[in-house]
Amino acid sequence: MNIVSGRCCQLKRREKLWVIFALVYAVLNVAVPYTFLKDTGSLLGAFLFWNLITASVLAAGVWVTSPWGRDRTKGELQE
Amino acid sequence: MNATMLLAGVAAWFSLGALLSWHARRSLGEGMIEYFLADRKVGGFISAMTYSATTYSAFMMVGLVGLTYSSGVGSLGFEMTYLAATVILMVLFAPRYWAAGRIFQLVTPSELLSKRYGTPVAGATAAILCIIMLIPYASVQLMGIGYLFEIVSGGTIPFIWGMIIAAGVSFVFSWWAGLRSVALTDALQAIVMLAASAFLLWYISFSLFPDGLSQALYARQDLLRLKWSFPMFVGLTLPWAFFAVTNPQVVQRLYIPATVSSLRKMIIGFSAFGFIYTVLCVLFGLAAAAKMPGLDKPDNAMAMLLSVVPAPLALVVSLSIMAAAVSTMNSVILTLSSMFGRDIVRAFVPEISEKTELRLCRALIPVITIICFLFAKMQLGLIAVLSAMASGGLLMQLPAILGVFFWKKATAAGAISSMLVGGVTVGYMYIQGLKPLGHWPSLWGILISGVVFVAVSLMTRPPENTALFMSSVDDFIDPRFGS
Repeated sequence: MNIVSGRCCQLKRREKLWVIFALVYAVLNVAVPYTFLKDTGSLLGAFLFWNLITASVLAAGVWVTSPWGRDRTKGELQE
Repeated sequence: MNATMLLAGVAAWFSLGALLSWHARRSLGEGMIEYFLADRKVGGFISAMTYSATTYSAFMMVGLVGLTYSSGVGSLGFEMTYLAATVILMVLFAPRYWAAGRIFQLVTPSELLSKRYGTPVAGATAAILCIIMLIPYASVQLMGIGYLFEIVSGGTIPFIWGMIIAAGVSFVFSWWAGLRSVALTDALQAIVMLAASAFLLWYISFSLFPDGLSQALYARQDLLRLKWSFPMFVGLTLPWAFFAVTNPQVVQRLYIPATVSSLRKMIIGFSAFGFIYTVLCVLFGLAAAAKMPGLDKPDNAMAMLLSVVPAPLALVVSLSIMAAAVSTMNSVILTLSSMFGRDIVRAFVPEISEKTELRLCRALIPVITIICFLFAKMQLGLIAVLSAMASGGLLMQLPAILGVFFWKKATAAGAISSMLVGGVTVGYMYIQGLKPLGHWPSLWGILISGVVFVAVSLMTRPPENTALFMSSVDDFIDPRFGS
């Protein structure tokens, strides 16, 4: 089944990177706390990890949306 | 805290909100898009704040604090996963919803399903699912305020009066000027929520933990170890991870930003708000566990924390919890009323005028508010089950929503059957308390819903306008959202 191909419903280049990034995030977000950090009883364990990995997703969101509203030839669009 | 002080605080907060509603009312135009979407002209900051206040309910300062108190750091993982997943989904879906809303003049999220799948039954099915799932969810917001006021006032303000006050405030903020009013009052409430929480953390850090919270947590290292089982983590996180595309009150907000730049500011503003608010709420849970261990009811952890801070600070924090509940409830009610008019009544009485439709929707706002109140008043254990079921039930729309934008072979029959079969499966499993192989109903529901969606879609024909629908959205997005 070809879900994201063809003229319709294409993902843009940045969106494809975003999906790959999201999949990596989803795996690490569960795998690291449930393996390496499960028994770490300090703020430097799962607490710090979840803060850092979420902050990195939010920062990446700022980057991936940076071209929004800009047309390379026309500058800032009104809508 | 004495009841007079609490009621005076509520009156001051309500007056400020009512003033904003009155201001919004002055610029209110005519029509459904004006009333429910503020004419799609909301700026980035207000969009971000209304999205944040709608998303974060009283659960954060009561439920999440209690969950952290009793089960530790796993609750941070749950809530942070929700936040990250919301941002991931917004980046992919916000441009598409925003574009489709403008191209097809959509008012409700489920109207998009009707448009894409070529039948009003698709939107009506989604609308009915949302109404069934979200009325208990809104009722729990009222119950939360009822309990909070009763505890904070030492029983002087009874449970029922706390709920009446909250329902009244919610009704005024939403009915008076629709989304214009809700967006402005949400912005006020979001600022109150964040500022009050920051002040509370500042106070308890210095007065309750002079040696630092991290020092105090050495005695509670058990809370920093991951105690949540993997099925519990998946079962709780999975439905909430897709909240951004399955909960209509937040999806409807993707239609409202005035420009692409406003839409981006909404996502970035929500990201910042969500991160700070989540960290603060989890720290309150850890602080309460370190300072006052052994509470019988973990959900009382915040109320106990408020009992050891000065009354003015406790008042502001209590108002912020009420603000969180009211901003979620009035958004849910406003969205449900628009869905009832647009996706159910108009679907079957297409000749209805927009004026009559709007009148009907507005009349439904007090009706839904009263239904929520009556539901909450019963205090049934069933409400807790239905409320917990809400996110799982709404998740059953996910295959149909993905099909709208990303699968041209998706059909109306596939979308409708997946929502019905998934909704019934999740409802049955929750009510019966079934967890096959230890996994929660939402996981089984989404698997079954997904299989039904793909199988039925492959056996039926997609609507003729599918390619046109998708290319319209892509053509609208391409020049506005970069490569």
